[in-house]
Amino acid sequence: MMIERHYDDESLIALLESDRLGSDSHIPGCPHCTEKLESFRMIADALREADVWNETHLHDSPVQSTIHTLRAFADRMTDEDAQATAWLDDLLAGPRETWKTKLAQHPEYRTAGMVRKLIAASDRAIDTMPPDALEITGLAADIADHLDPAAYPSETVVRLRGAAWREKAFSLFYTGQHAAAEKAVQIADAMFSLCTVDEYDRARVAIVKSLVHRSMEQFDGAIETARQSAEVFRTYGDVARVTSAKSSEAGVLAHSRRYEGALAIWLDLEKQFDADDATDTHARLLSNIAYACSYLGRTEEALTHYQFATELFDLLGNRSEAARLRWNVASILLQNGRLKDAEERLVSVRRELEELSMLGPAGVAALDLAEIRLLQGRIDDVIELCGTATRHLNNAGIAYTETALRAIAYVREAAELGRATPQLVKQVREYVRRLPAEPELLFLPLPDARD
Amino acid sequence: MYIEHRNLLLYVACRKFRIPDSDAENLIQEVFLSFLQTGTKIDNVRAWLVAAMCNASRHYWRAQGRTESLPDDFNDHSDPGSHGLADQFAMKMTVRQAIEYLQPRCRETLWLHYFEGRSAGDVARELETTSRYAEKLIHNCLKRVREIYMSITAVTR
Repeated sequence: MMIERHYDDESLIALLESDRLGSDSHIPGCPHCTEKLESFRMIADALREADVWNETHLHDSPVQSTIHTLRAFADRMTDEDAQATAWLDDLLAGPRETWKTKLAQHPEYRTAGMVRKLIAASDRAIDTMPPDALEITGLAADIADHLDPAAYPSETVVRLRGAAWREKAFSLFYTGQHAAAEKAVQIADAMFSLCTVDEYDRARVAIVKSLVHRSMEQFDGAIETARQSAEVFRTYGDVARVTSAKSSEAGVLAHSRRYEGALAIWLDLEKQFDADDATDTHARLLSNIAYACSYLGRTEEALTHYQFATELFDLLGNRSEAARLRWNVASILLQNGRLKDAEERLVSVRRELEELSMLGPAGVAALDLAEIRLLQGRIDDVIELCGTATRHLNNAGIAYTETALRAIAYVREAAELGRATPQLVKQVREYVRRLPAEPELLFLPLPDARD
Repeated sequence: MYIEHRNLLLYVACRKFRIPDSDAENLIQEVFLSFLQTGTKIDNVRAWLVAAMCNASRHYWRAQGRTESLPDDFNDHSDPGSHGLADQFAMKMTVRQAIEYLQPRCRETLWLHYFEGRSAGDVARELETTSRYAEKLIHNCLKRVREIYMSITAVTR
């Protein structure tokens, strides 16, 4: 039987003090001695610093007035949030066009708690009904902007304004209003810059800024901003946001068609997760990997990763993201000519998107199906699906709707005249798909797509 | 949470950023108020609070318009080492606490050797003893401070 022998403390300290450590043969293979040696080294290093020798006595006891202030603040937040929860349902009942008027009729709704609840509500609405989310963040920013800073402790109001404008910036970005989003980002950043603790929140604003700049094709700036945010999140120990920020950086690369670089980052980030790790970040990473693979022509890998990501979103109860990914799978199958499979999936996912009020995607999915129907020679269905797509995009109320509708009307007209081709439908579908990211894109039917 | 983390934050403000005790408490309050308002789940609370304390301390000095007599690493935002910022501060704070439990002779030995960088021979001259004994003293005192450090952290855990 082998008996494991270790260095004693004396020998370890002697090794630490000498220049012989590099030539020692035992330490590199012995975790026990390595760990102990490291603890001696750590303490010896600390003893070299002035901080640890400073004998000035620090006031060790907790300060009662601080405890009182923090408790009072937390209690007030809890009360305001509870009250706001009750008001929120009333405020957001009915169509969004009525919300502003209702707010004007209820000045009592104008509290910090209401701003927090509206921000949370916009977060839920962004995936299903982006225009609702935009309206909600507009209300949040309006309330925050008119709160009296003197009525709240410390930097509460300015911090809330920053948070509300950050959410508004994201909603504006999401609905394709990039110039307005950039202005909102500037306001949010300016608000947080007035706070004593500003880095973390400004890094969150910077992520939105990176998304906006990506959409405006300011790729280098977008990458740098995402990297700086990742660094701040790392300092704050926010591992999930480090991953998100790095993922945003990869998103910029993908957006500028550098799919290999994007895929490398996403694959690297995904390594930290177990296969069945059901977190939102993991699911999004898998979905991003699938996205990059699809553009790199690695269709089977794309489908597999979409499948995993969809399962995780289903597990997490995120129906909108799961539906979006099922739609992506159907689209890949369509692009690869696997029409029967694509058709079955599109019929089902279109219904799912409609049920979730995801009208923008539902509109484009209708166009996907229209392409298949055209290949099947079912012209009446094509016309009907164009009508459905028009109705959905119209109701979605997204900034680029008008241009999208013109393109769809063009297909519908061509179908009615018996001149629509699969290429034309494909061109319009791709055009409508690209519009959220490229709202300035013009629709020009290709000569060969018309006839 | 305030009671659990307050001393570490006070240490960061007063020792790393040399902020007066009286003002440090106000900054700690701001850090906790910011924490309450993050509106997001924070996994590593201690790391978040320490980073926010560094942020608040830098803000304090900027607001004071002071640029002199600040530590060289005043602007350090990130932690290049293997330990997180919070862990580093907590470790230094504990070493400082451990030193307080040492016998005066042991404390002096470690001060001379590690802080002033004096050799065992120099320490021997200072303590009026032999080099061999000074060397043994250095080893024993380092061992002792590690023992105390381990017992403090074991209790803390």
